[in-house]
Amino acid sequence: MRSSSATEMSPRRRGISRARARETLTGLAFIAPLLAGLAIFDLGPLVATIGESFTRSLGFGRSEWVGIAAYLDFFVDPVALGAIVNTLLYSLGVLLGIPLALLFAEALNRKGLRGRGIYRTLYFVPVITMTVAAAMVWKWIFNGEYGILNAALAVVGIDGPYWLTDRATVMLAMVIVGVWMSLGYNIVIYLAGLQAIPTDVYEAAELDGAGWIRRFVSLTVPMVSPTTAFLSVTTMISSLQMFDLVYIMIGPTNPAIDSARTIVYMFYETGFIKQDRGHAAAIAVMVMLFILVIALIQVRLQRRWTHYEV
Amino acid sequence: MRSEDRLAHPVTPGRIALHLFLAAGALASVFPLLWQLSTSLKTLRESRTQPPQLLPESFAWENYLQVFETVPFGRQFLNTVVVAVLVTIGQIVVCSLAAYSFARIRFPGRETLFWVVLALLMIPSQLFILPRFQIMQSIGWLNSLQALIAPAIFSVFGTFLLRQFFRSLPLELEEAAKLDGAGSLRIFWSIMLPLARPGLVSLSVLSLVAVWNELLWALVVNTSPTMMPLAAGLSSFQGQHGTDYPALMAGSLMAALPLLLVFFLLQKQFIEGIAFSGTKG
Amino acid sequence: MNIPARSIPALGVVAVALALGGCSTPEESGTTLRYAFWDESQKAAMEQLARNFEDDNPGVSIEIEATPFAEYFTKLETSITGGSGPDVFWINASQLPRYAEAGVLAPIETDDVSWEAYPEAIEKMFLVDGTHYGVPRDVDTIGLWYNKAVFDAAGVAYPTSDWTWEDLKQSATALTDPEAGVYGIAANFDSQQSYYNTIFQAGGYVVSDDGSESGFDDPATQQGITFWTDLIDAGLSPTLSQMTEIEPFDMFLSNTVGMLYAGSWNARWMYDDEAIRANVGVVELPAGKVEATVLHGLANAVSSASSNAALAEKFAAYLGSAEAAEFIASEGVVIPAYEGSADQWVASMPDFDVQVFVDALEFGVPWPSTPTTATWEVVEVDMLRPVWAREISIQVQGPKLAEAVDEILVGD
Repeated sequence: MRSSSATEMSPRRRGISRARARETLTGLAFIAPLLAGLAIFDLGPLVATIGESFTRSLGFGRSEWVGIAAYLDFFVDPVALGAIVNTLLYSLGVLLGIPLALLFAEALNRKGLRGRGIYRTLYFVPVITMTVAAAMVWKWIFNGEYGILNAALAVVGIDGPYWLTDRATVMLAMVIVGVWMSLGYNIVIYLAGLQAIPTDVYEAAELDGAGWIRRFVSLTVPMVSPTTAFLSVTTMISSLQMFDLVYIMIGPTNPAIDSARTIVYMFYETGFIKQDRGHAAAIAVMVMLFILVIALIQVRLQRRWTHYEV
Repeated sequence: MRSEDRLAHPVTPGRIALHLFLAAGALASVFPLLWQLSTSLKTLRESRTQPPQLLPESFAWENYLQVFETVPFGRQFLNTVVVAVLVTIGQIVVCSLAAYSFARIRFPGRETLFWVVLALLMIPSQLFILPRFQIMQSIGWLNSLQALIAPAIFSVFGTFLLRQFFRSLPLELEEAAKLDGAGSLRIFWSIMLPLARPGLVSLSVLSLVAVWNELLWALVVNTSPTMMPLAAGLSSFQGQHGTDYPALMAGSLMAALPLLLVFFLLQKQFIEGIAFSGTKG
Repeated sequence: MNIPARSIPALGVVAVALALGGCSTPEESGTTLRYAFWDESQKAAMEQLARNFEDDNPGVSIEIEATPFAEYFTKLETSITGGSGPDVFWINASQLPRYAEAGVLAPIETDDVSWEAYPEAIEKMFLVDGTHYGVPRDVDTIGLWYNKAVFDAAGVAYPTSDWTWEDLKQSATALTDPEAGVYGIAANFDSQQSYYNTIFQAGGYVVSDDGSESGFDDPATQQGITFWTDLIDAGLSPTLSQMTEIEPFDMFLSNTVGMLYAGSWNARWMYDDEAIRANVGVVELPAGKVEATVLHGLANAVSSASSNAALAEKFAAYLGSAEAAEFIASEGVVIPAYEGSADQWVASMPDFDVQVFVDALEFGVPWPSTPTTATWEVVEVDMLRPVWAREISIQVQGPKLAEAVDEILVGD
């Protein structure tokens, strides 16, 4: 009868489990530096923030306990609810930049394209540009009276709106800038994804008489779907955290700010301007949960249409 | 994988349309940069005059000199480079170790741990500012370069990127090495890390961009201009009552040039490095 | 283990980093005072004053720390809370009550400061319950700037310092030319430069003297707001949208706005540009029921946690002295608080009639602030914004705003 005691294991079994234990230790050892750093710089602040969210700041480190009051507040505050809507709208809008990036990547991937390296660098410029500088420049471009955009529209006879101060158009303007900022990065990632597709698949399709558009839709798009999945999740997560554009392009005196305010901007306003760190912490926790939920939903949905190679 | 075809294709209408399409996109991408250039050559009054003119009246190159006079640009440039290099080295060590482990070393709870770590990406960076300030305060690292370097080394995104990369490499190499009796550390150092060069290049470029444009954290944790990196140093052109746009634009253009150069030179490796990482789940 | 040749440059960088970052300042035998402020444009002046003080006090070294205004107070508060705050620092009238109430400011009791040297209205801004918490440094007042080109084009006489609200409205009407896109005045949505002044001129108040009540349900206060909204309604001023798209000052400089209420700190940079200097003039603000201008200013405060309290106090006193004031005045950026030294400020800009800013001190009203100012100012902007956008009238919004602010004031 075989005993269940470990010491009665056959030498081979013992060898394997020792090897497993060693591997586990090695695995954890490799991760240890990262975890240590994250524990200090990320987890610590996170835990502190959660603790702070149950308090109201009285300034200079003093606080009073308010329990979940700030959280409840969040759900009845029209400004907070508006911020959630704005943030979602913005993020969904910026997602539309992804198919656009694929088109550009496809164009850049053409055989024998002259100046490919230069084009790629030019497309990458927005990624490198300091957000402050970019937002200021776009503010001028969108200017209702003298902006370049409206000047161009006027040439074709359209009377352009006051993009940044009109509630109806401010979010569209922000989305345009958001797409502009992320396009270069998305294109480069797509270029990588496109390069991984074997050419013989296309050649076969070409022989079958499939035209450019057909090949693109039926072959390229499905085969880069892992890249698309990756880009949509990362784009979503970073768009949900948008702050700079509202802070620099919009500002608190803008009559349209209610349609532009994002949840991270609300966090900044509460914590850094109103100086109530406790309340801000509660907003931050809500923001994190919100992003987590959206990201999970997105990943779930994506499993359906993503096609992975072996 | 397609190769860069040196032979140019014949000029067909299709090609021309292609170039028009690409050129339009490139112009839209670069236009704000051109506007920045134009503003940097205007006088303060010109930059505030409405309607804004596309071209400056005269070429106010003194704005560029003013940048050097107002902020210790050279020193801040050096700071930025030092921080960028050390962050990159740190990330290569810390993140690739962790990434390799998440990708190839089996241990219980590995996937769960990975997803928990990944969840940290969902925390807006502004949240960390004040708590990290307090941490730096208590260990006496205020107004230092270490304060800029240390938190950046432990990059969740970098780990994610490299994990994808490692997962895409063929298993045979490791299996062969294991049969030869090599331990994990040896395999990692001698085999995997060199193979991961493209991925490391990609990570380095992305980190470089992030460090280069780091603003809020540097402003809060450092006080002397000699300790500031570029983006933070340039914010001194944003006064309480108005911004010196021409100087700010001049400074930020000068700051962006090295980045552009790096990307231009490294773009092939950069794309190669992401080629493996973006495509898998 | 062999060190690969490739890593030598990297090691070199590490060495440089240690040299640069490891020790930010050399240790000195003697005392070090840390001095924090926010205006980069005045850094040279601050450095000079620091050097002067160091010369007079051997063994003392002053470390200067400049932080942009937007981050200044958050950083200051966090560093003080963590015990690593500066010894001496700038504080303005709106933040003083908060800092004083928290007990982080040391009372200024040294004899080195002669309090009579500062106008009472300024001194009051840094006085809490009879204790001085800051040595006044500089003060801002507001004036009526006018664009000569716009006035000449419409053939309207330039403003004078005896103007009343009526005079202003009349001239604005004459100046406004919708076809040419010219407005008589810009109704800037800005408390310090616009509506606080008119609130006081109408006989109203922002916060009651004891800091317990908001003034926005008071009819006189509301008149101070309707002064501006009437201008917008009459088409004499651009709308809030337009003024958000383009800064009122930019409009003023582009000859599309004839008049602008703006602060004394603008004098210097406008003066330095020849084209602007020739085209711009300034007079005292028009009088409503009374003459008034809102005063804002800043002082040098001493941290109650400073380990060199006496020395810090001495430095703060020096920074507020006649000698320092003259130096500040000669830079021309701000008006020093020290009585009489403002003359130098005026003298540094001979073609401008900036004397009006100094004269305005006579009817200056101290900045309305309470310990919770940071919070209710945000509410104020949030609720006045729709008023400025002409979506709601102040008569309707005023009581709601007053209620919201009262609630916050209760927490003081």
